[in-house]
Amino acid sequence: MSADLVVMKESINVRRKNRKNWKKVIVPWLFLSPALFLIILVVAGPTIGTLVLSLTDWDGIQQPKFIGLENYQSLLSDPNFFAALGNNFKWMALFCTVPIIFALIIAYMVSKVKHGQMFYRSTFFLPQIVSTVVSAKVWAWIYNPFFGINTLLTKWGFHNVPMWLGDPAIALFSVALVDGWRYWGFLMVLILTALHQTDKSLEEAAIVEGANKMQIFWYVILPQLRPTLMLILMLTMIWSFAAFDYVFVMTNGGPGNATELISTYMYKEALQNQAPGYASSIALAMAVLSGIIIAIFGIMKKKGWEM
Amino acid sequence: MKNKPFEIVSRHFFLFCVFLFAVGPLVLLLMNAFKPKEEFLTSPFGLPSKITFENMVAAWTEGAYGQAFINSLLVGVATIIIVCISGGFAAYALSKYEFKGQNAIMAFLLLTMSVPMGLFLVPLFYVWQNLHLMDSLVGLIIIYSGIFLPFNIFLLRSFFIGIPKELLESARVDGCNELQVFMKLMIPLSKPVFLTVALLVGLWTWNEFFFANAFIQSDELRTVSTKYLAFVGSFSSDWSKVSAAGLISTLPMVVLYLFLQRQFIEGLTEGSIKG
Repeated sequence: MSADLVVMKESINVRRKNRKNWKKVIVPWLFLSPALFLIILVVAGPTIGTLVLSLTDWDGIQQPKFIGLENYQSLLSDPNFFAALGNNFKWMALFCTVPIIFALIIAYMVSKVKHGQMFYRSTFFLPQIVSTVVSAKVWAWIYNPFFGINTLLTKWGFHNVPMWLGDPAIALFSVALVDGWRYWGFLMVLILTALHQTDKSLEEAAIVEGANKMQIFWYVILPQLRPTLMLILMLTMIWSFAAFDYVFVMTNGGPGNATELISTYMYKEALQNQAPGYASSIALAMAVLSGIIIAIFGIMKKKGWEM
Repeated sequence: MKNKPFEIVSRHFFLFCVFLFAVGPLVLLLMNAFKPKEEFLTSPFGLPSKITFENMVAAWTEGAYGQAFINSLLVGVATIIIVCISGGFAAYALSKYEFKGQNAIMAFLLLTMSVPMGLFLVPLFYVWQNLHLMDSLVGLIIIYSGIFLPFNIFLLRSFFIGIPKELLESARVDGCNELQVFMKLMIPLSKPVFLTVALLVGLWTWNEFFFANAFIQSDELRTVSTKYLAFVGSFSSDWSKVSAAGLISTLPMVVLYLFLQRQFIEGLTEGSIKG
């Protein structure tokens, strides 16, 4: 009798425990499910769709036709794609140097300022808040040869003023300047935050040892900023492959294909040229390239490059 | 250590030049929006001799900005609510539970966060056509929620981790179920991070134009940023009006930023570091 009771009690306990375990497994997934559903519906699912579509010939209306790797073959012999890819690499080279160095110098200067740090920080960050379409149009107007900055420059005696967005040789740099104008303030804040966390006693020790300002910056400050700078470098590289907004609004890839980027080329192929299958292969090539960059940084991190 | 006053002055002078570079284009926008139209043609870079509200009124009425503001507000608020609730749930699961597949989910979120939008645009387009979500604000709200969720889950999670588990345990002992623990403890304790999420999502939805441009065709459904694009298309020669329209489009966010700079700046920078 009592033995039966014990067995009964035990089985109840086991059942309770099982229920509790089962609950423990299911509850976090219940909490995750709404977010996962949305992300899969909007981002993950369609991304896999792109993978499949890139293997098809499709005009967006009729049934997609499976053609294997043909899209990728045409991609390799598409001069427009390589022009865009080249521009993306120029874009990346620019953004990995100019805004980062500029932000580093300015952040260092701001960190040395006693009064007005907050003021500089928030005004330098302001372009980040302004809508891209609006700031792109303001800059397009500044670049305009008939009303813009060129009217001022000629009045001041400069001749041969550049055609900022009209000259294929410099149009890409003109647009990059605008995107850089927006982007550098963000980097400045990141670096400034890191500068505030540096070890002040090291700096004081260096002063006592008689190091000059350049030496202090180079040997004491910069090594401490290294993790932040590496992170910034990685973010910038990934983002430079996805750059789209300013080119789309200001030049839409022109003149000719002087400012065409992979993203704008893909957008045109998908929505204007009715070639979503081909556009998918362009998008995938872009993703593979940024994947390679992430992988390189991952390897560097594993090899102990102090990220 | 000598030359100190000189150093301070020259440093501020240099930073002031950088300040002009950063805000100059925005000041131009402001001046041209309030400058009489005739004056714009004679001195596009000069200060306005008198301030006129003509351009602003014309841009607001001719651009039908009232409707665009309502649309943007609707989309923004709905996206904020969805991201806060579903993102909060997800971040809660990722920070306060231990379960199989946790690392896989984190990797999944990291991956979906860094996917460029070109990579899912085309299939999304056709999925939305089949679900009859094209040219609808509901469709746009769902897209924004899906895109902004991964980043914000990371942001929320990094805050939730700092909330001690014992606190939640004691609530459970008091008889709260899991949902109540979240509603009665996590939300009140995490107000600052929810504010940051709301601000960032509000900013992004207000300024976003890529998806709003591709997925909305009806003029009366346009949000503020695509309304501005359409406005520029039809008034491209009238820069006074275009400047006024630009000012109308950015002013709400800039004002909000002036009051809540710290939350904006820290949210944007910390979020991308942790992600």
